[in-house]
Amino acid sequence: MEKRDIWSTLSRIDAKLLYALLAVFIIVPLIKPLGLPMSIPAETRAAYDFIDALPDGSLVLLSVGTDPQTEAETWAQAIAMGRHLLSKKCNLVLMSVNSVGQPYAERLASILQEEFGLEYGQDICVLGFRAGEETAVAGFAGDFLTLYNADYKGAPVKELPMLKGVSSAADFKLIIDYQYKASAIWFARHVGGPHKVPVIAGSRASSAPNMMPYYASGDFKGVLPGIQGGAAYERLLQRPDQATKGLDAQSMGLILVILSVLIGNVATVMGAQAKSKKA
Amino acid sequence: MFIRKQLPVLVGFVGGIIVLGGFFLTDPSLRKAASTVVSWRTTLAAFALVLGAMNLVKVNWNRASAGKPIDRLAGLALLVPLVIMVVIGLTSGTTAKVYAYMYDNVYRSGAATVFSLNAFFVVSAAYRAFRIRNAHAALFMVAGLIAVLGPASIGAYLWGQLPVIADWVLKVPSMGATRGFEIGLALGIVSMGARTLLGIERGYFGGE
Amino acid sequence: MNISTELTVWIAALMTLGVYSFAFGDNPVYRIISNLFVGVAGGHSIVVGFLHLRNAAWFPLVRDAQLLQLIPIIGGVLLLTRLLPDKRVSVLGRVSLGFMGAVSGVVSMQGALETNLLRQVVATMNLRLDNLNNIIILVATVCTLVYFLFLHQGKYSKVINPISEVGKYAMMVSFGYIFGAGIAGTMTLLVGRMQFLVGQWLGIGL
Repeated sequence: MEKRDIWSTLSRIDAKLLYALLAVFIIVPLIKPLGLPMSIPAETRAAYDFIDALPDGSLVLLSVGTDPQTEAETWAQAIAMGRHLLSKKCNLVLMSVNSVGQPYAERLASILQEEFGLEYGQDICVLGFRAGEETAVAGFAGDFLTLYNADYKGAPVKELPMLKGVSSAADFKLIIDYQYKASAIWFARHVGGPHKVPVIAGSRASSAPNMMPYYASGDFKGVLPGIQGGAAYERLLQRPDQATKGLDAQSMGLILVILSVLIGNVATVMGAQAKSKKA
Repeated sequence: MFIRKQLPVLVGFVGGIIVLGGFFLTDPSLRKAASTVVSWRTTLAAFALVLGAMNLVKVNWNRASAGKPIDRLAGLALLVPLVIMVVIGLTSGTTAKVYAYMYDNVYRSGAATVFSLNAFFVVSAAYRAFRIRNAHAALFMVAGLIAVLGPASIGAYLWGQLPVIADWVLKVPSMGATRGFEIGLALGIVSMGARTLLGIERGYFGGE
Repeated sequence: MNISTELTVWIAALMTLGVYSFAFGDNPVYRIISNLFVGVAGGHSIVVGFLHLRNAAWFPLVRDAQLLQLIPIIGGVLLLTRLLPDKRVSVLGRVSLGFMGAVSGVVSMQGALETNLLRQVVATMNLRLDNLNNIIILVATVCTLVYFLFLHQGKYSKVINPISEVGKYAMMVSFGYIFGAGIAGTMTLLVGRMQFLVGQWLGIGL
């Protein structure tokens, strides 16, 4: 039987060992936080400053496109920004262009209502889900009250006190979108451009590069990239919560990925060299 | 025949032209008509959502009716909660306790876990498959490593300049390429929209 | 350790562990559990689809006597004929598909014209070239566009190819960043599930 050298052994490690290592790398910092430093992205600070400068009582639309795939990255953003908006007594209208996002919109409204003692219909309301994705956003922009004529319970929107006098998308002072596909870009296209309503994008980390051209051109007033954006916003609010707690664990998981790439590449190169020496 | 080929294209053309007219022209009644057509499109999208789910029911009903025991069990495992959700949702609304519990504890937990499984496979792939073989791959890998470490808190801990470098990569070279990509994409969208309007592009009809 | 006694937490934990069993290979437990949550999602889609129809089509028809709402409702019923095996009937659904495709194509087109195209071109043109970063952005934008628009131009390939090559390098940086950020996002998902298992289910102080 051929004697295996260390590089051959390393390059054939069982995947299950890596899975176990990953679990350990994630769980340990969750139980014992490492207190690693955190930077605040400029585009997240821009979002914070924009909201901070909003007049009290502004009407704001939250498009909650969160789903189980994006929840870990955008849910903490939604909670943090909701708290900031309500500290400025903004009136919040929640909706979703993602069929799976409506329960998240309902839950966000419920959490904020409980925390701030809000009255449904007066301070906050949920318009629910409308199908069509970009077409639904275009429908919101074109004739808001035709498409969103009833809230998620079926009550006529015209009877909600907070929406009395609101007749079009242009009446909103800000739109914050929590990513579902390219939803923030849809809002920038159909509402931000034509109606000049500012848009802030809460996005996944992997979508942040796609948001940058719109941030640079002024279509977005701010971008929150993934869990870092959420944690940075919590830091700016001086209220660390879910996003901050998960950062250390995320970092350790990423360290394992990098070590895997490095060791895997080194093992392959050294193993090939050892083989050619033997030959 | 007319219903299969020409009528769908004609109906699409009329609807699309009204929406396009509402965008380019300022006539209030045309804009109102365009908004109405767009809202009709969203209504059809809602029907499409229901259609998709009903197709799921149809496929799994066939599975649950015949086949190996595990396939039948899997088919039932899909149909039973689906029916429960529909009955409760349509009678008591999405805020009903049982509806919310099933959504949170069955769907949310399961779906989030499926996506999180990728993390394990990423580590395994990083070890076995991520190899630098040429200049393009090297650049790809370096940018990837910067994206992984820079924004993460470990990056700032290892080297204070890493977040600064990551920010520069995101907002300069990457942004430039993405902007070029977005402009190219816009040209593609305009071209595709025009082709769809004129009935040249008919892939979305599906088969037959 | 303070293991949860709530039934809902246990259901969620068992769902989570059942899905994670896939890491050790496909198995019946994973198949059953994945079908459970697909079923819940399917049921939810039907419910929210109906709620949209109720709010945006049925209520205007019944409460406000907007008879024009009958048109999309009939269109929707035609769409549902796609489920039927008889092709002479299911062909009617193509009329609705034609309408949907054309309208959404035009909606995307009008949105992309201003925001994706005009504003991005203007933003590129407005770059002040007294700054190295802006020069890099301009070069990356133009070279990437050349790659997409002018690839394989035989006669001019001596000019186009080097420019496209620069575009390729710029795209490698962008795609590499997106890929790395995607890995970070995937790790965040895993952290989220571990927070639930360790914190909420096992009650180990988080």
